[in-house]
Amino acid sequence: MSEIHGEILIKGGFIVDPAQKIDGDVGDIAIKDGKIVDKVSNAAKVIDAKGKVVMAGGVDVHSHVAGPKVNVGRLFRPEDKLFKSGIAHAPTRMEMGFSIPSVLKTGYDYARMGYGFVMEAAMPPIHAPHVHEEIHDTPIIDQAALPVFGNNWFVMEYLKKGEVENTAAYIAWLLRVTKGFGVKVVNPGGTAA
Amino acid sequence: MPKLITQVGCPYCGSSCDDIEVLVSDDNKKILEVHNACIIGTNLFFHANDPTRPKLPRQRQPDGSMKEISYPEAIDWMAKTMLAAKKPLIYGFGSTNCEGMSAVARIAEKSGAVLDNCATICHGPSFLAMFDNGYPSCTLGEAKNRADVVVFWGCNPMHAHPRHTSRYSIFPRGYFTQKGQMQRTILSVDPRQTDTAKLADVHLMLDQGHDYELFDAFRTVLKGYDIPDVVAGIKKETIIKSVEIMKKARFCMIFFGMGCTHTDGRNHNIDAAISLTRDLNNHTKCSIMAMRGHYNIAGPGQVWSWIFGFPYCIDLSKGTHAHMNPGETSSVDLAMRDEVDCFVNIGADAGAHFPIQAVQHLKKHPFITIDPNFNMASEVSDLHIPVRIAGVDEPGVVYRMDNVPIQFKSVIDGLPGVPSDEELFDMVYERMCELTKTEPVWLAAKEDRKHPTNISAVNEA
Repeated sequence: MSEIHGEILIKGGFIVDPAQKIDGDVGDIAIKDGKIVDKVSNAAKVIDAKGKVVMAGGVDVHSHVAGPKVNVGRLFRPEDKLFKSGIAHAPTRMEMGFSIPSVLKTGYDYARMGYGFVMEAAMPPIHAPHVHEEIHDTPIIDQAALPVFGNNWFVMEYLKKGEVENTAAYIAWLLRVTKGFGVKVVNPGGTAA
Repeated sequence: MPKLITQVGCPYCGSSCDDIEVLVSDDNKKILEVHNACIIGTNLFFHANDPTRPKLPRQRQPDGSMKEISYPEAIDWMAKTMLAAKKPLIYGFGSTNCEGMSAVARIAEKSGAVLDNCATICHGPSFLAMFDNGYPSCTLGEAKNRADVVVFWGCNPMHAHPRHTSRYSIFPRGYFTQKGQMQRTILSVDPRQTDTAKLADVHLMLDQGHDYELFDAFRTVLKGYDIPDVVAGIKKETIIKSVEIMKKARFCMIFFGMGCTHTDGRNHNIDAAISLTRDLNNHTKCSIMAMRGHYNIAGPGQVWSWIFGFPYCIDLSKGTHAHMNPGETSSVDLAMRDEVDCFVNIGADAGAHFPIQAVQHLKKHPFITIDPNFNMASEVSDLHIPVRIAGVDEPGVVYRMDNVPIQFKSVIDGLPGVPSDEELFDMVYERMCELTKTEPVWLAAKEDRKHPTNISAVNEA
């Protein structure tokens, strides 16, 4: 990711920062080169936040927004777009779908709600490139993904034999090759048992 | 020393074999040997060595001849032509990577184009059936490791997907199929005596165009009802025997091809096939899969679903939202009604595969081909822009016929100055934004995009 340059002044919003016990005070936030600073020059881009909440971007720790299972939903439901999609205006791209939004609608909607990060909580390891491709095409928000281990045949075999170190080594390898952020375990042994 | 590159993906059919080994020359410029691939895949790699491969765009001149022009000139002409058109049609994408498919979506949106892929003339009817009836499918790995009964309905992998049978469907030994071919019962449903049919234990040589009746007869027998003595030219006993084989399978796998999607019944045939799959799951495990043709023809179905929500026939001419209605917004129908006023053919050959009347209509308007090689479409084009070959001198993600994404490698250096599809589309998009005095909508991740910001740098590289 390239560095963010320039100065921004967010003026007149209700600032919320629990860590510093700031609870809705009206004030200004100055940003320089991507970091919050005491003050910025007159050349700063001014954003009028009057009447709005100014806070750190929201973090959604568990969501299903990218990858094969949501894309099957998009593909299977052309009717989810008919009369249910937003109307695109510059400078945004088209935003399609309602119950299963396109990656563009997903990014824009999360940003509108004040989110900055979303965790895709189920990445099938074999489909990892698909998940990363969708993350790549999702605007504005940051995303990461958790590889699914719940019904993983190798994990179940290792655990059955009591080989804990092999289990750990296998999980570590899979996390690395899928560029996973953490381990997702759901309904262990549920489908393949 | 020549280098052996392993785990290379093959840029030919929907099996997207990823076990190819390629021996390349020391300077990374020539392919010397290709191991493991079928004869067609092998030749596709060797095509990259061809010294006559186009290295510059070629534009049609008033006297009908083609003249080489620079990339910036070609990009400028393409951007202006597409912006001037009321309804351009962008078609192809069977043979390029997903990065290109994502990049072209920006151009399509900007120019209010119709975006379509080769599914429109092959597995489009399968999509329609999936919309109506779902798609109880699996991966090719599951087919290899579990299937003990394999049905090839209207497809001939021995010719169309040469390594499909040895890697996944007839011969390989898998986890629950350790005896390989010995353990598998093969049914072939085909009006022709194909090489796949010759391998089958039962060949149902049905009357051509009567697939729906036969699917219906299978379902009727499976539900315990009587059928006429002969259905679709197949004897009642043969149908009952075949249904028994499928019913008694531990895991039944149905592969279907264009013998189903492009014969009488079309999407209704696939609808019936999916219903048969569902019915069989009352007795055993059964799964179904479309035999997709090109190595990444499953790709646009995925990429455009996550961008626009539709897999093909995507009309963006409204400018505000996408609209899909095959028959109305499908390439051949649009061309036959002469409803598009600019045609862009990318990584496919509409010149060879569209009906001649459709090509004649398209030829009345600006006709652009983007392809690494000369083909029938490039030779009738007003502008031919060469690009790198995805899977040979350009890496990228492709989707196998079971929608499993595979990271393809580049095995040799690309031709100097020749961009990838993605780079070319990004440059055309940038030019369109310059011409319309609008801000390009790059995604955050696009800040580290590959292409140089200065177009002329491409030609000097």
